[in-house]
Amino acid sequence: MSYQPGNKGVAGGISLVIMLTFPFIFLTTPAQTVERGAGLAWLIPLLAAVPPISIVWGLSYVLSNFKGDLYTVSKILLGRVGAWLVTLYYISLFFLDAILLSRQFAENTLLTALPKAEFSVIILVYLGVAAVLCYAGLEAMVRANYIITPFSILALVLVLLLLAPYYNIYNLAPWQGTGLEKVIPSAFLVAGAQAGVLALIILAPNFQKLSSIKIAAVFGIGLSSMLKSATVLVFTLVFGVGAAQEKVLPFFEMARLVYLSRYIQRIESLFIVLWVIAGVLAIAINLYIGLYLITRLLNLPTLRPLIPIASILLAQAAMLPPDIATIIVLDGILITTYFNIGLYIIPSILIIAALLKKRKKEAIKCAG
Amino acid sequence: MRRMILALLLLVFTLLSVGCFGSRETDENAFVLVVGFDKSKRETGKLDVTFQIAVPRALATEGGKSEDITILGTITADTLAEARSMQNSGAARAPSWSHTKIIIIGDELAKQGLGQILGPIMRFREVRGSILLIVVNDDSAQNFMKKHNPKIDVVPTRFYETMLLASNESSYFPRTNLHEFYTRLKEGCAAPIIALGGINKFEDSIEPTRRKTSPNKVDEFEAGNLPRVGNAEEPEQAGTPAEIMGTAVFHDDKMVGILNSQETRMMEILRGKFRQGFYSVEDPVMPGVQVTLDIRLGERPKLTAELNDGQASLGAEVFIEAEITNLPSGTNFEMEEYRPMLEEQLTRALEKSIMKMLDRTQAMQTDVVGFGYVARTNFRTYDEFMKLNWPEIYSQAEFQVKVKTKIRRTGLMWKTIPNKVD
Repeated sequence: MSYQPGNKGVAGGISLVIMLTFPFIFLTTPAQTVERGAGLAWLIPLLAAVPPISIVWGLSYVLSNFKGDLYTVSKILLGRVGAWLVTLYYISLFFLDAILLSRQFAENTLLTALPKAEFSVIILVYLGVAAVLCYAGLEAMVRANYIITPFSILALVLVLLLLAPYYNIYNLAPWQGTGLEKVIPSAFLVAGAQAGVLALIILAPNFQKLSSIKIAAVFGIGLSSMLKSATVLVFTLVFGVGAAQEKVLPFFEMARLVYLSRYIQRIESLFIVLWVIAGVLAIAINLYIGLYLITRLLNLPTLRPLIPIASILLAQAAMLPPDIATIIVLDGILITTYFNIGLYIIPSILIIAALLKKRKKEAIKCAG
Repeated sequence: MRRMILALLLLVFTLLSVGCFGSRETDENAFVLVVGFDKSKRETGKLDVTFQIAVPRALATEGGKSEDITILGTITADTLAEARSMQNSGAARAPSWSHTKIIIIGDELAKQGLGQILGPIMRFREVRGSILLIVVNDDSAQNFMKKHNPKIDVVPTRFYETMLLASNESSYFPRTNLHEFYTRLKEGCAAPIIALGGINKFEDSIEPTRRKTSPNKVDEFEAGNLPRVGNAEEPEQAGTPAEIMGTAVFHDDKMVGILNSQETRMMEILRGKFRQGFYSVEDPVMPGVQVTLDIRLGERPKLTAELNDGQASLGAEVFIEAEITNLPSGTNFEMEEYRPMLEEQLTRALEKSIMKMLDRTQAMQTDVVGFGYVARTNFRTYDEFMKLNWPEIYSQAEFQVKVKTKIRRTGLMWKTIPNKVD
């Protein structure tokens, strides 16, 4: 019997999805989104929510006909080799995400809070804390995220509102941004950043029912996308398209711009802690899902012995890119290419295979 | 055993996460409050960077003089970053910009262009977009900082900050910060502006930038020539000679002109930043006598921009609410039969002043109001707008300015009874 992470409900699912998709808000993503959409950039996160929700709903249909998790269903539909390939791909996807997140959050910590710190120490701290969280298990992470999510959302909304004196509605004009013909395809292209939502399918048997997975996907992705959209909207309103594209840390820049009076200013330090926690949780959950898939693949009874070695390897890999610009560019490239395979291609293959298999079954039944 | 290891790990990470890497105690820092930038007098192509640093010991004692609580130091360097590094060699404490509130720019450097200093400033972690900016009129930042000697707010940053925050009391100068300057520079659809500072020479004669013209009844000034009475040898009697009035106007990153007090006020009205201020016009019944009103924006100005074959038609509708504050002529403008006359007079005065300001900015190719932002709505995509040379289009634009005035209040008197003359 392979390792099992315990049962989850809708709230657990929503928390899981938010953990995997929300922290991008604290990275360079809003600036890259403005570059793609200009004044209409706020629409990109909303449109990008459609593919992951649809894919989860499609895969729920597959799971309703073929019981099990992603590995089991892949084995039924694509055979043993196919299942291995699919699982190996998703292991790489979650580990890659953990690497990219640890490097970016470590760089951001250096930029914003600890400029004199040793970079390797920061990465090790991030992955070390993530390893401890993994050791505590999925339930602990999900529950920790319950606690942090309301504060993160409140802090985010507060910063967005406190920037109201800087809003310039004309920064959104021309209203079509870079043009609808560019904005809509690019929204579907960057949806790969939310491939992590497939964790719901990976952990499917641990959810009480299939409808829990569907609801978690809708609410988790929906909430996370609305917050991303609001952030990009305010970021554009405040900085304008030109200056917004230059920023490495849009949320930090927004927080440090808050100036209501001599007494209400310099509030960014309050938020650094929040986004570090969100980052650590995101790294931990990616590490956990990657390791969980290894235990499924090799039918291991526990994942705990794998945690230290995987953390060290990921920390080493996170230190490989030579500079922050490279990692930002690499992140953009991987999201629009490699991550999209996991969001569009593999789920589509599984859905088509399930349809064909079901039709074949029905045909045999009719013939019988 | 496992629990022990976990507890130990948590302890290690807790200790590592407290953020003490490279920490510096307060008494190891030299807190830079104000930074001044000038074109170097000593060597072409270099910068004179003046730092005004807090003396914490003097700040702690009561009744300290402003010259005691800060020290000034100037360094000539190729770049701002180099000046900052050099500063470290001349002072025991490490320079910290975390409390820097104001950046002051000398006139010559502003005319040459701010590209040299903007790059490093925008990248410094310690520099915020909310840092306030001042350009010194016809003088250097170093001189401005040296002569500035505030009496009420002895900390210089408090003086600048309070003063710029209070800009909406009169709107004779805009409150400008680094964020707004930079975003305007990057967007290209509004000219960057900075508040204009200057050193008053306390001269006996009054030399306004422009004399009043009917129906306006106020002379126009700019920083450095305010008609303040004082004695240059005894500045203690007149307060600080530093003053802020008017606007430095930029084309790209180069200063190309100045708007005086009245022009700045008109700019602020059109930008919707004008909150309140006294305004004097000629009495419509008794020419030569002035009437003073306290005016405010009744609603946000409506700006329009239409583009036809590269020709722009720009419009502004302004609604002003006024309160009568001074009626020396004794004419009963509070009453219905006279009130429209005064409203019409104020409308004419404001329209004339706004048009004059727009004409001046057109000549400089500087859209200080930001009509360019509105013009963006004429385009389908951002790239289409970016192909446009907005400053040039603005310089040839046609304007339609409509001001509507409504006198809402009459102060604490509701009618004027003529003086009894025996």
